[in-house]
Amino acid sequence: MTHGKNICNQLKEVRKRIAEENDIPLEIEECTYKGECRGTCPRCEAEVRYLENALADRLRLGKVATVAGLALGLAATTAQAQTPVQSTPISDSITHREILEEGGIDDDFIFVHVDEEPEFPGGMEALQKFIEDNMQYPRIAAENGIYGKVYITFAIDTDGTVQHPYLLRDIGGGCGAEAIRIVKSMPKWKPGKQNGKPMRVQYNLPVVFDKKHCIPLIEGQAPVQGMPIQDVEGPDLIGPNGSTQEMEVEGVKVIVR
Amino acid sequence: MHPIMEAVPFIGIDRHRLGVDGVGVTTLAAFHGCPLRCKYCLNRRCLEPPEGLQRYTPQQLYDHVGIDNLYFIATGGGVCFGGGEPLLRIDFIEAFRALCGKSWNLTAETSLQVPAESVRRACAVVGDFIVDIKESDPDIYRAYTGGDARRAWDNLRLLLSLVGPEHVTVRVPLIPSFNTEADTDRTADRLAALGVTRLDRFTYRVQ
Repeated sequence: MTHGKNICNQLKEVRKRIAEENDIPLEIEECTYKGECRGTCPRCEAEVRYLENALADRLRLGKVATVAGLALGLAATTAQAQTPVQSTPISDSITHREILEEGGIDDDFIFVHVDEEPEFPGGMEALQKFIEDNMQYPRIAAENGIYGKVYITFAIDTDGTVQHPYLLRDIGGGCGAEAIRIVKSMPKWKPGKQNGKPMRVQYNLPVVFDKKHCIPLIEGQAPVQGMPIQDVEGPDLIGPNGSTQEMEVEGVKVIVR
Repeated sequence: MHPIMEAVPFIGIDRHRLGVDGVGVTTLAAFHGCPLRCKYCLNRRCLEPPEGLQRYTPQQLYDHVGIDNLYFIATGGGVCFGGGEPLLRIDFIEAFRALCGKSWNLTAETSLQVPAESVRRACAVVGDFIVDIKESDPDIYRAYTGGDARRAWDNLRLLLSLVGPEHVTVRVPLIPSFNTEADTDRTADRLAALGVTRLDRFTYRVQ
């Protein structure tokens, strides 16, 4: 295992502990970023932003959000070089509220759970129909037998506008970019509400890329496991903080903006 | 309250360092500038003219490294100031501490080749110190670094008295062509006599 991958795995464990301790649903899967991810690939970073929003949400709902010291000692036990250096432990009793008070998290938070969930016009069935009707199965995926679920997260603003779609899990072949395109083309949703007031809400959505769209493989030919790097024309991916960078998702070069 | 500070040059900022520059997830912020001229210096960029280097004010650095706030809090980590010699920039570190509050652990990786007053001020804002003491023999120290060993050792005594040995890790390197294992043993003995309990002994690899 590379040094970078070791770091990636340790940070994933930290995120997992934060999510578990605070009852935040978080799908933890193996990071498939092809580069030397040190917990800095767009998906790993997106999970951190998701947790920040979920923790802020808990506080807003009057719940305790605990972060401090959850993973004390985790990093020290995996030191790559030299004797681990100890420092003053931080009390377990410090809560995430302290982070907020000290300015660590943007005030422009997003709810994860609200009294009234946001709703696509016409409900869930209409949402699935919209996805199926608008999906243009990526040619690269079809030709290489790539199918499965792409997980995407986005915010639904107080006026129902879909904002900042971001991939949580991609399967490659241009499917992630296509899922982003579909989400960006959605009409306004009915916004979520807390105490009767419209709120900005984070929404996670699996987008299914059905096997039936794949071009049948020649008998005996195995599905392609690794994708060659290819430029994909189409929608840009949107980073969590409005950042812009090039990235490679499952072998597909895309632009993160 | 610190006056508004100008941006100062950094030779690099490195995120997600685990167990190398302090406990937990740590971001290393390496300042430009050093009073020593070590023969095997790892970061020679800190000795060259600062043109072209990224510059940050304390606020800009705080904003930049804040992306790892959750990791810092969860693991007891934070920012390690290195370099170069970070205590030459004690104004910056004080201003940074004022911005980040007490939730982050700040570590300084220092040769202690600074005025004693800088050490005193650092003790008020830095949680842990990693001291690169190098050698106890003044002649070897000067030959390798060009500096005065006495200043570093005087500051080490001061540091230990102010923060206690539990917050001080001292690095003792075996330096090819400059000292021997017997020299490093002697240095380790001197450090033990001062109450140092956290020693990091290693060998420089010369390529």
